[in-house]
Amino acid sequence: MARNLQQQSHDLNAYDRPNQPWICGHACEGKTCALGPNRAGKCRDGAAECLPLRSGERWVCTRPETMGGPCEAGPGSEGACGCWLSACKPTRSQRSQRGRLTVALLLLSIGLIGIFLGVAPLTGHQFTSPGPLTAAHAVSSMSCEDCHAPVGEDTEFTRASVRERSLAMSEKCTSCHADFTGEAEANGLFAHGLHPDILQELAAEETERRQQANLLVTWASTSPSVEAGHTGQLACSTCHQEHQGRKADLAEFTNGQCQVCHQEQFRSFAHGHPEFTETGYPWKRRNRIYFDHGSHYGKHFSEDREHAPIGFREDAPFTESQSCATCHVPDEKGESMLVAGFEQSCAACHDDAVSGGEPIPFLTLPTLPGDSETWESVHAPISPLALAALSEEAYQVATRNARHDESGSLQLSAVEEPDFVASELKALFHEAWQNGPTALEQRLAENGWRLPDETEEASLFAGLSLDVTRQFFFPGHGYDVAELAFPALDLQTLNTHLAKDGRSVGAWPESASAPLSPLLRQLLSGSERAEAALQRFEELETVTLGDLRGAAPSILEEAAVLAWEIRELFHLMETRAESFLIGFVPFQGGLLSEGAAERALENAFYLARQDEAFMAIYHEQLLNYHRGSWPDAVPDAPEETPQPSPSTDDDDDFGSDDDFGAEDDFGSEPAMADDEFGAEDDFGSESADAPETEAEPGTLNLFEPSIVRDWHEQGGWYAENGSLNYLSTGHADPVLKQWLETTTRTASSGFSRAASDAATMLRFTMDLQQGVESNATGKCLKCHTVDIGLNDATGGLEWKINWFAGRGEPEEDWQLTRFHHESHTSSMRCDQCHRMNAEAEYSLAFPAKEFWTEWPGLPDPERAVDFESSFEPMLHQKDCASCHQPRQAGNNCLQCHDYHHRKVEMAGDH
Amino acid sequence: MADTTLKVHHRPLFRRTIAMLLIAAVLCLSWQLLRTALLPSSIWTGLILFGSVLVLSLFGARKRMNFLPVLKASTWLRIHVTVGVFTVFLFLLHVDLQIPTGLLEWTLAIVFVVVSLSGFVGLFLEKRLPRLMRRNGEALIQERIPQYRRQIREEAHSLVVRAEQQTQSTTIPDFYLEHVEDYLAREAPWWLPMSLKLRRPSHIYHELEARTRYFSPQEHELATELREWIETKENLDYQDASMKLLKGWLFFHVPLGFCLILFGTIHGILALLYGPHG
Repeated sequence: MARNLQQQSHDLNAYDRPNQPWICGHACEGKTCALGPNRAGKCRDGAAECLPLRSGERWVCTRPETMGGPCEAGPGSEGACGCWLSACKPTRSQRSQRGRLTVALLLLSIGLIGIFLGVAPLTGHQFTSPGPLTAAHAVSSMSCEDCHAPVGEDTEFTRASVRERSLAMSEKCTSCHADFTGEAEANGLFAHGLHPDILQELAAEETERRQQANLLVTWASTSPSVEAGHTGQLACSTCHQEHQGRKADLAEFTNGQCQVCHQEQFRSFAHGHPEFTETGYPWKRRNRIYFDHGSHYGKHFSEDREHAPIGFREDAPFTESQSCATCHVPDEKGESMLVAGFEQSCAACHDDAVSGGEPIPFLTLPTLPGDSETWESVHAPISPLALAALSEEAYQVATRNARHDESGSLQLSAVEEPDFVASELKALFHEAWQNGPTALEQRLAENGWRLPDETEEASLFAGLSLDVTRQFFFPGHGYDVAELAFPALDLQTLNTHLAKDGRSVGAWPESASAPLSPLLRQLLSGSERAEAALQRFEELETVTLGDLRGAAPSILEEAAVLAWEIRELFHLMETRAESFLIGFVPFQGGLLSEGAAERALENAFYLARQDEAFMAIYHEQLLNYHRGSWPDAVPDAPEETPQPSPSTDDDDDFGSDDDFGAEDDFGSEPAMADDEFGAEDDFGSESADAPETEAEPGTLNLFEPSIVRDWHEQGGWYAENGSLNYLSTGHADPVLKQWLETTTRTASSGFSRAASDAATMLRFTMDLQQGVESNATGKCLKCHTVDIGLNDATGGLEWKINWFAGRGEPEEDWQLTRFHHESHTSSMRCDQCHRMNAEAEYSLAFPAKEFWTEWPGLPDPERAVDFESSFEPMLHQKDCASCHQPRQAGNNCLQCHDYHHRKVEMAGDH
Repeated sequence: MADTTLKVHHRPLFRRTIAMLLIAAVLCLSWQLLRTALLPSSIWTGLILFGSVLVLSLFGARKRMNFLPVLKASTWLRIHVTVGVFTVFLFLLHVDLQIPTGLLEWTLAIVFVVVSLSGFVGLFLEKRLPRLMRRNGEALIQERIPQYRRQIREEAHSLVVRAEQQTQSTTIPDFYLEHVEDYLAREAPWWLPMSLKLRRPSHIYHELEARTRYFSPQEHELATELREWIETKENLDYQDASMKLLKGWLFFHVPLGFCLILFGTIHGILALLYGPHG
C-alpha cells in the first residue's frame, strides 16, 4: 500500500512559485530554498536561511520545517543566522520555457517570412503564390502583374470595393482572352458574354418555373449577388479560381451554380429539364446546299451503285444504310458533323456538270460599222461589264433611248451617239491596258459597286495578267496609230553621205515627221544590228535620226543601218505581223489573235499608206531587193549584205531566215507567202505554221480558235477574237464566286445604276438566255442556295449566297449549346436520331429555273423555312435522359452547354 | 439506478454533440449556399476562420489575466474546445478539402494541423489523465515531486539501515542495493502512462516475492514497509509522467498557435491584396 506523501499542514509545504520565471536550482534535488532566485534569475548565494526572531532576551531560529526546522545552533548573540544558503544555478520554470520557445519561434517565423518576401522577386513570388497556375497560364512569359494589380493602384483593397477590384482584375483577363468575350468585348463580362438586352429577351422567353428544384439552388437564387449578375457584369474570378495546381479545372461548375441565375430550375437533366426547342437537322430550314437525301437514297444511289456511298443498302436504303460517314465527318472537336467537301461527296457524279462550260466574255470589242480600219468587227454587243464601267456621261448617252436587241444585249450601233460611246469605250480599254484590272475596279467602285475588300478570298479579276489584258486590246487601241509610223529621217544629209559610195537610203515617207516612238524603239531592239545602232545614237546628245547634220561618217553609217532596219521591220509587219508579234519578246508566251495582229498591221501603215508615192517606191524597192537588185541600200559589209535569191518562184520570194526571223540578216533562201519565218530568229520566237500548212511535229497554229480554247481548258482568263474571256476552273472557282458575291451584293443594294448594272451582270454571267445550267455561275446557284440576310453595314436586306452547307448565318451569331456527335456515333447508329422520310417532297423547297429569270427580284424567303423535311423529327429530351444519368453518361450542364457563348461558325464544310 | 446515473452523466455531452453537429450542418449549408450563389466563399470562410483563431487565443490571455472577472476558466475552456472543433471544420471548408500547394499556404496549413492536433491531444489528455491519476493513487503537485522523490529515497535508505541493525542480516540491504536503490533514484519517462510494462516495476516485486519466504518475521515486516515505499515511488512516477504529458503538449500548442496567427495574418493580407476577390 503506497504511502501518502503530501503534508496537509502549510508549514510543511514549501512555496513552489509555479508562475515565477525562475525556480531554485536545488528543486530537482527536492531541496528548494525558501526564498528562491530573484527576478533576474540569480541565486541568493550567501543569504541566511532564516530571519531570526527576538523572543525576550533570546533570538529564535525561524527556519521553516521544509528546510529542516529550527537549527540546533540557533542564531548568534547578535541575532544573526548562522546557516547560509548553498549556491545553486536557478532554472527556468516550464511556463517561462514555453514563453521563450514561443518568442523564438515567432522571431524565426518573422525572419523567414522577411527573407522569403525579400527574395520573392528572384524566386518568382513562389512564397506568396497560393499555388501553381494551371498549365495554360504557367508560361514563362507571364508575370504576376499580368493578372494582379500592383499595390498602390486605385484598385488596392483599401481604396476600392471587392466588386471593383474583381472587375479590374477581369479586364486583365480579357486582354488576353478576347475570344471569350464574343463579338463585343464590352459584353464580355456580362452573363454568357451577351448584351443585357439579349439576356432580358432570353429571360422573357423563359418562364419562371421551379419543378422539383433543389432547395439550396432556390435559396441561393435569392442572393443579391445573383440578382446583380442578371444585369451587371461578373468578374472572371466568380467562376474561375486560379492557383489550384497545374491540372486544376478552371471551368469546373456544378449544375446548381448554372441554375442559380435561371428562372427555370429543376432537379436534374432527367427530372425537370425543359424540352428541346430545336428539333434538329434538317428541320428548322432547308439545307443551304441543295441535296435531297430522299431522292439520292431512294433513286440515284440505286441507279449508280458504283458511285453510291459505302454502306448503302439497296434493299433497305432508308433504314439500314450506314453510309452517312461518307459525306459527313465530325469537326476537330467532334461536335458538329460537317459536310465533306465537294470532292469527297459530290465530285464522283457531279464533277463534269460543274466543270468547263462556256467561257464568260467579260469584255468584248463591240461592233462599230464603218470603222473597220481601226475597230475589230467581232459583231459583239457592249458587254455588261464595259457598260457598268463607263463614265456617267457615256452611260447616260449609251442607255438613253437605247434599243436592246432580242437577246437583251446592247449593240454599239444601237446607241444614240455611237462614236462618242466608242471613244469612251476605247478610253476605258486603254485605261485597262495601261493600269490593268485595277482601272476597271476603280471605275466600278466610282459607279457605286460594292467591291470585295482586302479580306476577301479573291478579287474580281484575280489571275488576269497584263499579257492577257494587252492581247485583248493590243495594239490597235492601246497605242496611238502614230506610234508605229515611220519616224522622221534626215534624208538629205544621209543621202549626201551615201552618194559618195553610190548608195542611197531609198524610199522614205514624206509624212514621216515624228521622232522614233518608244514602241518602235522596243520593236527594233529585237534585231542585234538595230539595237547596236540605236545604242550608238542614244549616246549622242546633239544628233538625232531626224537631224543628222554634223554627224560623223560612222554615225551616218549607223543611221543608214537603222533606216534599213526600220524599213525591214515594217516589211515584216506587213507580211507576217502575227508571227513577228508572237516572237516579240515583250509578248512572248502570250497569244495574239490573227485579227489583233492584222489590226496592229493596219495601224502601223495607217499613216504611211496615205503617202501613195512612198508606197509605190517602197513596194518597188522591196520587190527589187528580193530580186537581188537593191544592194545600194545595204549599208554594211558584203558578207552581211543579203544576197538576192535566184529563185523566180513567187512562193519563195521572201527570205525565211532574215534578221527578224532567221540566222542571218536575209536568208539565203528568201521566200514569200507560204514559207515561214525561221524557227529561231533574233526575236527568239518560234515560228508558227500558216493555217493552211500541214503542221510539223511540235508546231501549233496558235490562232485557231479551237487551239486557243484547248490551251485554256483548265480555265482562267484569256483573250480571243476581241473578247476577254473567263473560263471556270471547276468547282469553287474563286473568281466566279467573287463575281457572284459582288454582283449579288451590289444588286441588292437598292434602286441605283450600280444595282441595275450588277443585276444585268449577274444575269449575264448566269447566261440566263440559255438557261441557268448552261453557264458557270448558273451552275453554282443550282446547288448553292440564296437567302435573304441583314447587311451589317447598311442595315438593309441583301441576298446572301450559301457557300457552305453548315449552319450558315443563323438568327443569332452565338450559341450556348453543343452536341458531341463523335462520342455518340461510336455507340449509336445515325438513324436512331436522324430518321429519313422517304415520302417527303423536299425538292419543292428549292426554286425552279423560272425563279432565276427574275432574279434578283422578289425574294423567296418563305421557301427556306416552309418546306417538308426529308427527315423525321429528332429525339426528345427524355430520350437523351435515358442515358444521361449521373452514374452513366453524366448529366452535368456543361456537357451540352457553354457558359461563354461560342461564335457560330459559318464554315460547315469539311 | 446505475443506468440512470450513466444517463445523467452523459446527457450534457450528448446535447453538446447534437448542438455541435447542428452548427456544423448550418456552417456546411451556408458554405454550400455561398458557392451556389457564386459568392466568394473562401473570403467568408477565411475571415470567420481567422476570427475563430483569435477567439481561441483569448483563452491563453484569459489564463494570464486571471484577475479579470470574465467567466470561469472552465467556461473559457469549454468555449475554447467548442470553437476549436468548428475551426477545424471551417478550415476544411476553407481549403475545399484540398491540400494547399503554395509555400505560405502549405506552411500555414501545416501549422494549423499541428496546432489542431496538439489541441485534440491536449483535450484527450485533459479528459483522460486526471481521472487515471486519481485512480492510480495519491495526486501530487508537480513542483513538489522532486522533493517527494528525495523523501522516498531517504525513507527507504533509513529503513534499510534500520533493518541491518535490527536483523543483523544483509538480506534486505543486499536486495535494496541490487534492485531498489536505482529505481528509487530514477526519474520516470514522460511516456510512462502509455506503457503498462514501464508503469509497474514488476521485476522488483517478483524478486521481493521470491525472497519473502526466507525472511524472518522481523525481516518480513521490514520488507513489507520497503514494498510500500516502492509502491509509493511507482505512483509518484505515474503522477510525474502524467504531469509532464499534461504540460508538455502545450509546448506545441501555444507557440505554434502564435505562429498560426502570424502566418494567418500575412495570408489574409495577401489574399485581400491580390486574391481574385480582393
